[in-house]
Amino acid sequence: MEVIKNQKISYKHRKGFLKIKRVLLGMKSSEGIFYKLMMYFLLTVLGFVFLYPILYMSSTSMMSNMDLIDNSIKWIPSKLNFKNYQFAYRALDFVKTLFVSIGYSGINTLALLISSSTIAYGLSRFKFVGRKLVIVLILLTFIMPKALFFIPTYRIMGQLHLTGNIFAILLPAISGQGLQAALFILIFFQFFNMIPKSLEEAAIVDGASSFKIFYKIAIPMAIPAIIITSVYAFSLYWNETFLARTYLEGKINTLPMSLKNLSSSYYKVNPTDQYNNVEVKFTEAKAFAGTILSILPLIAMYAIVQKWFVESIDKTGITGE
Amino acid sequence: MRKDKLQVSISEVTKEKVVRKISYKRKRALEGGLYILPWIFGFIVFFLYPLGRTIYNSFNKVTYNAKAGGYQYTMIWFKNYKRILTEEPDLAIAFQDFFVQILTYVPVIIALSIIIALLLNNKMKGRAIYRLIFFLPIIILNGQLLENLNTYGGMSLEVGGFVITVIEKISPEFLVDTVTLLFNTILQVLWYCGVPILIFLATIQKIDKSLFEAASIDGASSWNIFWKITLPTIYPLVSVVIVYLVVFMANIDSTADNSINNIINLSRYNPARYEGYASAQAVLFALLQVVLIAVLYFLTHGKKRGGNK
Repeated sequence: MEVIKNQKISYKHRKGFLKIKRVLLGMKSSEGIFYKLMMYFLLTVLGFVFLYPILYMSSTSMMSNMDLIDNSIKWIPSKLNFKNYQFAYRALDFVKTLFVSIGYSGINTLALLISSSTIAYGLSRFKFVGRKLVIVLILLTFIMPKALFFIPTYRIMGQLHLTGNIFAILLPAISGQGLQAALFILIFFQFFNMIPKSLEEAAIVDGASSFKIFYKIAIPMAIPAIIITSVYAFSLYWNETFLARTYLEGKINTLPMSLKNLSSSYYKVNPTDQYNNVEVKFTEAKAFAGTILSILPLIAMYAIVQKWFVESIDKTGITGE
Repeated sequence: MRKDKLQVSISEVTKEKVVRKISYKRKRALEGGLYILPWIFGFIVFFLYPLGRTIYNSFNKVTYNAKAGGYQYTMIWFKNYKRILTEEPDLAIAFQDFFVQILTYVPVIIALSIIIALLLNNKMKGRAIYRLIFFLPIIILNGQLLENLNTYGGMSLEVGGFVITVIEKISPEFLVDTVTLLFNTILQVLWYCGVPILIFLATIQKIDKSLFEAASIDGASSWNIFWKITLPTIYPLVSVVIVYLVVFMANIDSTADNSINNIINLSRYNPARYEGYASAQAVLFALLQVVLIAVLYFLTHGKKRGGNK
């Protein structure tokens, strides 16, 4: 009798325990609260760590120089202070540099888009001798570091009188040697490979030229690839400074390039008669204000296009080998 | 007679067809070549020629002589390489740093991005916002930003004094250093995760959903599903990500993260070095990178075949 009672209790206990376990840990088909909480917790922590540098920069960029030396102030400035942004705005010559950056990145992105899509189309839809070799060589151009090329390329540009000229960057972009062009060619290549052969043949029978097929059939099918390429290439050209500074010789200055010279250009623009004024001195608060200003346009662009960007990522075959 | 004629004409027609087919094929090939033409031009002018030039220059000693009209090249064969490898250690040290950075960062980045990709793959509220956050570094990451963060702080998590004291109390000293190092570099490592997360996420989403359903009906736990379905699917991408990461880290503009490009660029203007020496440095860097990529690629690629037995 006693034994049976005991068993009954333990069974009851077990049932309760199982129920709790199911709610917290979830069954095979659904996820429990514990699992969900863990997931949100992990994502939030990781997300915070991802954003930490940006948060740190924005909070520091609002601090006055007195706040910076004040040990009691760590995160929240004593009062909201946009003076640093004013200083950095002037030192960067923001409006002009912004338009230069947008124009520079935009035109190069366009060139890269045109070249990588046509090259990928040629590789994907036509059979000719050496096609495989071209693909291997494209992969090779991806692997080689840019340090290997910039010295002689700079010479070539000089001989062609292109240094200090946007064509020094544009010419490689239009001929399939732009920044990470290999990656973009491969993305387009995969998209064009997915076009059914019968569709193409039908178009040929109807008398469409291959170029017409390219822009009437292939391009509309590769819109996700176009979105990804434009967004990524735009930010690549925006952010690349090493080659740009070498080839352009400082004649064209984008925001990140001006940011590099911020500490020197700062005193040229801001009141020099106040050298001894503590608040005017160039500090990390000013540097961060400039940094934020230089990434702000990209963040704005990203916020606008992110929906299509993320959607396109789902559709792209970026991942194939 | 008539039949004969007919046959002749038929054979002529087929002949013509064959000819037309060949010419059509050839036409297509030519057309295809037309699309590739810009690439061929770019490849020769901006890849092949500079590559040959760099290799040739690396065997030369370059001196500047204003009277003789600019730079002068004298063949010295492997002396530049000898100087770099045995006499002047700056590049060797940068190589070492790069090598160690790759070997330590890459596994951590891959593990973290697989975890984040798996988390982002879950159905949940606010998925769009989380994705926004994790893809942000892809868009805004630039050398100058990293450099500012490195010089003025903000790239290392400040571990509170309390955490450190606790760790000091319960663990030996070397562990404290490791933990602080981890906290110092974790941000950077995470910011490099952007594209790998993207690649893994896209792969996970491509897995057929019915596969998971079938597995769970057969009684597989989600733990088993992860090891038996998800991981084998994303594993081939690991080698792709490795190639991407090595190239990415080799080309990053920030001197704090990769000083090699800067060293080569400075050598170009250094009267004791000039172009020849800088070219030799660049060739060595390319070799190091190719070897690293090849070794890491085949290490991870070979395993896949073993695992699929």
